[in-house]
Amino acid sequence: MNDRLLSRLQHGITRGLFWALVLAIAVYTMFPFAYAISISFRTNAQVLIGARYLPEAPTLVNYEGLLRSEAFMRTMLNSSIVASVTVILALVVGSFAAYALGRVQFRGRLAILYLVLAMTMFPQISILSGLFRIVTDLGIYGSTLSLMFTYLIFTLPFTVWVLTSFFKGLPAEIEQAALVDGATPFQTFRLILVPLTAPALVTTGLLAFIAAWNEYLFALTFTLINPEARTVPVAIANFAGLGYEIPVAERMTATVIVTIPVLVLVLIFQRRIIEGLTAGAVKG
Amino acid sequence: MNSDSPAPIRREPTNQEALALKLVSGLLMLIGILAFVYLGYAIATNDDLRQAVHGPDIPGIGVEIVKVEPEAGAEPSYFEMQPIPGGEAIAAGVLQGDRLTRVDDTDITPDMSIEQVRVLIAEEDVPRERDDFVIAIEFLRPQEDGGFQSISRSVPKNVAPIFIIAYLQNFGIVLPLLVIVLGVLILRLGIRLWRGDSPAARWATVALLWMIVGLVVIAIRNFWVDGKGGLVTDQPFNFLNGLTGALPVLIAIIPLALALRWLSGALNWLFLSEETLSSRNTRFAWSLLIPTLAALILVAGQPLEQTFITSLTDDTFSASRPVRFVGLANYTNLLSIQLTTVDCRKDNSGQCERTPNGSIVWERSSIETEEAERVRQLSRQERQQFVRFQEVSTIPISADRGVRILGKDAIFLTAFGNTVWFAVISVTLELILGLIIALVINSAFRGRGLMRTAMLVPWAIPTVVAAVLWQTILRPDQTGIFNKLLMDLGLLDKPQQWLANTGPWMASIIAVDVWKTVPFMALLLLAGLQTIPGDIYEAAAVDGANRVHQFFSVTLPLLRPTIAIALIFRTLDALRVFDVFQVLLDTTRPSMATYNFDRLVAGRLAGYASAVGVLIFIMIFIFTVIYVRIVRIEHT
Repeated sequence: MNDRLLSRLQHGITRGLFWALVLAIAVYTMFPFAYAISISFRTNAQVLIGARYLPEAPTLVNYEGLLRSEAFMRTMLNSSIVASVTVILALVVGSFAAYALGRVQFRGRLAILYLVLAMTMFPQISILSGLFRIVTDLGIYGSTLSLMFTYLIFTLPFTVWVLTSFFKGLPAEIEQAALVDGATPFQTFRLILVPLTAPALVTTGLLAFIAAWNEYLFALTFTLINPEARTVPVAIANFAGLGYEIPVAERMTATVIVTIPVLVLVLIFQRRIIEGLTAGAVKG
Repeated sequence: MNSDSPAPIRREPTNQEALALKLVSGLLMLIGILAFVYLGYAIATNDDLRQAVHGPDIPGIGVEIVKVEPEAGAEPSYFEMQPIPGGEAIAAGVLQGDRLTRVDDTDITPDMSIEQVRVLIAEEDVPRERDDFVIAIEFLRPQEDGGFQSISRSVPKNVAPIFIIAYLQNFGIVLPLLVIVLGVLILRLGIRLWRGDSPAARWATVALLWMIVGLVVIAIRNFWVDGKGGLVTDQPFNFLNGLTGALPVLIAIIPLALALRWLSGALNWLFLSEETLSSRNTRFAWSLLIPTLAALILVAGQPLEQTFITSLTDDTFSASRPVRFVGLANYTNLLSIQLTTVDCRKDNSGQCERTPNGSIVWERSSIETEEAERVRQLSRQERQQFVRFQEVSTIPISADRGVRILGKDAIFLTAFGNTVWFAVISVTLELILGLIIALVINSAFRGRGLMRTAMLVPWAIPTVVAAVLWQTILRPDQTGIFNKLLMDLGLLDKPQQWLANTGPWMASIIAVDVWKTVPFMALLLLAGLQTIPGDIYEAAAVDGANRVHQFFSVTLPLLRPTIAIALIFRTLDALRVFDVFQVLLDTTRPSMATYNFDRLVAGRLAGYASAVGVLIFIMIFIFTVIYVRIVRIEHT
C-alpha cells in the first residue's frame, strides 16, 4: 500500500517536473516575441517610463505610423522583391544542377556534389571586399540588383544540395518509362520530374526565401550609399523612427510587422520546413 | 566529347546543307577566336594598365603651369597654376590663378624656365619606392584688395598604378584562364563540326544554348543599368537608353539562335551514330550544370580570388596613391603575437592594486617598455610607420604575476578571442539545451505538435530582428523588462547594464544567439532521434536499463553522427557571427566578421580587411572539410 503510494507520488513528481520543463521551454522560446507584441501596443513615451509585461492602455498608434510610413513600406517591398527574385533564380538554375547530380551518372558527379555541399558553408564575410569590387564594376552597387545577384552565394548551393537529395529519392523507373515513351531527357525533367518534386521546390524555395529575407551583411554593405534600396533587416538595425528621441516602441512594432509574414509562412508550411531543414543538414 | 574520330555523315548533304554546316561551324570558330580577341582587347584598352605602361594621364598633381610676364616690368614674372579636372590639385583646393612660390624644398624664382617648374611637380622625379606620393607646394592667392594670401598645401600626385597589381585586380587569373579554355573548346568544337563530327554537333547545341542564355542575361543587365544611367541615380528610368544598351547584345543572339535551330534540326537527319548512354549522360549532366557553375564562379570564386589578391596589397578605397604589393605584411601584422609575464602593481601594503570593479592592475611588460624606448628614437616619419605591440589580454597565473598576450593588431586578436570564446560556449550550450528540448518533444505528450511549432518562432525571426528585440529586453535601466523581471523575482536589487563594456556583455550576446539557434539544433537532433527504432529501447528496458542508462548506452551513441553534424554546422555559423555583434556591441568589442566589416567600410582598408577575410575563410574551410568528410561517411 505504502509502496504504491510512494510510486504514485514519484510518478506525480516526474510528471510535474516534466510539465514544468515543457512550460519553461515554451516560455523561453515565446517570451521575447510576445514581449515585442506587448510593447508594440504602447506609446513610446510609456515605454520610456518603465517596462511593463502588458500594455496599460493598448493603442494602435505605432502600427498606424509605420504602415503609413513610405520609407518603411519601401523596405518591405525591397525585401520581398529581392528575396523572391533570388529564390526564383536559385530554384530554376539549381533544379537543373540538382537533377544532373541526383539522377544522372557521370564522371565527376561526387566531386561537384561535395563542392556544392562545401559551398553551403561559404563564409560571406571573407569575400566581402572582393564582391564589393565586382558589384561596383558591374555598376550595380547600391541597387537591389546587387542583392539579388550576391544572394545566390547562399541560396544556390543550398537549393542544389537539398533538391539533389529529393531527386535522388524518386524511383529510378520514371525516366526509363519516359524514355521508352520517346521523351527527351529535358522533357522528362520538365514534364515528369519537376511536377513530382513540386513540394520539394516549395519547401526549398521557402527556406531560401527566409534566408534571403533575413540576410544582413550584404544588405548593409551594398546599400550603404542608397537608403532607398535598403531591406528590412538593415532598416530595423538602423531604425531612426518617425521623429522623437529613442523610438523603442516603433522599433518593436517594426520587428513585429516584419516577422509576421515570415511567421505566417512558417506556420502554414511547418511540417515541410522541418523536413527541409533537417534534409539540408543531415541527409544527402 | 569522348571520341575524337569523326563519325560518318548519315547521308550526303545537299550543297545547301553543306554550306549551312560550314556556316555554323564557322560561327563557332569565330566565337572561339573572338574570345581571345576580346580578352586581348580588354587588356589592351584597360585604363589602369595603359597608365601603368605609359604613366599617368595627368602628370604631377594635375595643374597646368603658365609663366606670366607682366608688361613694362611692373612686377617680376610669376608662375600661375591652372588646375586640370581629374587631377589632385582641385581636390586639394588649388584655384585658378594661384601663384606657385615653392615646391617641396625648392623656391620658385622668376628666372626659372617653365620646363624646370613642370619637372618639379611632375611625377618622374619622385622615386617609386618613396612612401608618400605627396608633393608640398606653397603659393600666393590673389585677394580682392590686391594683396596676396600665402598658402601651403600637401597635394597627392597622380601616379601610375603598378602593372602586375593593376592586371591582377582588373582581370585576375581565373577569369582569363576560363575565357582561354572556353575559347579553345569552342574553337575545337567548330573545327570538328566542320568535319561533320556528330558528338561535336551535339555538344555544339549545348554550347549555343547557354551562350544565348548568357547573352540574354547580359542584355537584361545592360537594359537595367543603362536605363538607369549607370550607377544609382535619382533619374527616372530611361527606356530608350536601356534599349540602346541591350540592342547590340540582342542582335548578337540572332545568328546564334539561327545556328542552334538549324543544328538541333540537323541532328536528326544529318548526323549518324547513336550516342552511347554514358557520353549522352555526361553531355546532359554538364549542360545542366553549366549555369550553376557559372553563377558560383561569378558570385563566389571570382570574389574569393579578388579578396586573396587584394589581401597581398595595401589597397585603400579612394586613395590617391597607387596600390602596392606588400606580400604577407597584412598577415604578419594581424598574426604577430608575443607572450610575456608581467607583475601586478603593488600598493603600499605590498598587495596587488585593484580597479574598482575588482580586476588587478598590471605593470607594463618589458616588451612594451623596450618598444616605447625604441619609438622615442625614431624620426617622425618612421614613427608613423611603426606598429607597436599592444596588450590583448592578461591572464593571472599566480597571486602577483600574469601572462600578457601582446599583438600588433590587438583588436583583431581580441576579435579572434571573442569569436572563438563565443563559438565554444554558445555551441556547447546549444547542444545541451537542444538535446533536452529534442528529448522532451520526442516523448509523447499532448500538445507536442504545438510545442514543435513554438520552436519555429525564434528560428524564423531574422537574426538582426532578434538582436534588436533582445536589445530592448536587456535595456540597462528600469525600461528593460529583463531587469524588471529579475527585480520582481528578487534576484537583482538594481538594474544591470547587460550590454555595457563593464557588464556581462559576452554572456548576454551568447544568450541571444542561443535563444535564436537552439530551436534549429533541437529540430536537427529531433530528426536524428526519430530515426532510432523504438524496439532498441524495449530491448534495453528488458535488460533492465533505466531511463538514464538508456540515454547513455542507446540514445547518445546512435545520435552521435547527428550530433557531430549539428555541432559542426553550428560551429561554422558561430565562427562567422556578424549580426549580433554588429547590432548589440560597439566596434571596440568585435567578432572577426564585424572587425573585417569595420576595417573595410569604416577604415576603407580594402587590403587589410581582405587579409582578415582570408583568415576567416581558412578557419571556416578547415571545419568545412571535416563536415564534408562526415557527411560523406554517412552517405556510404
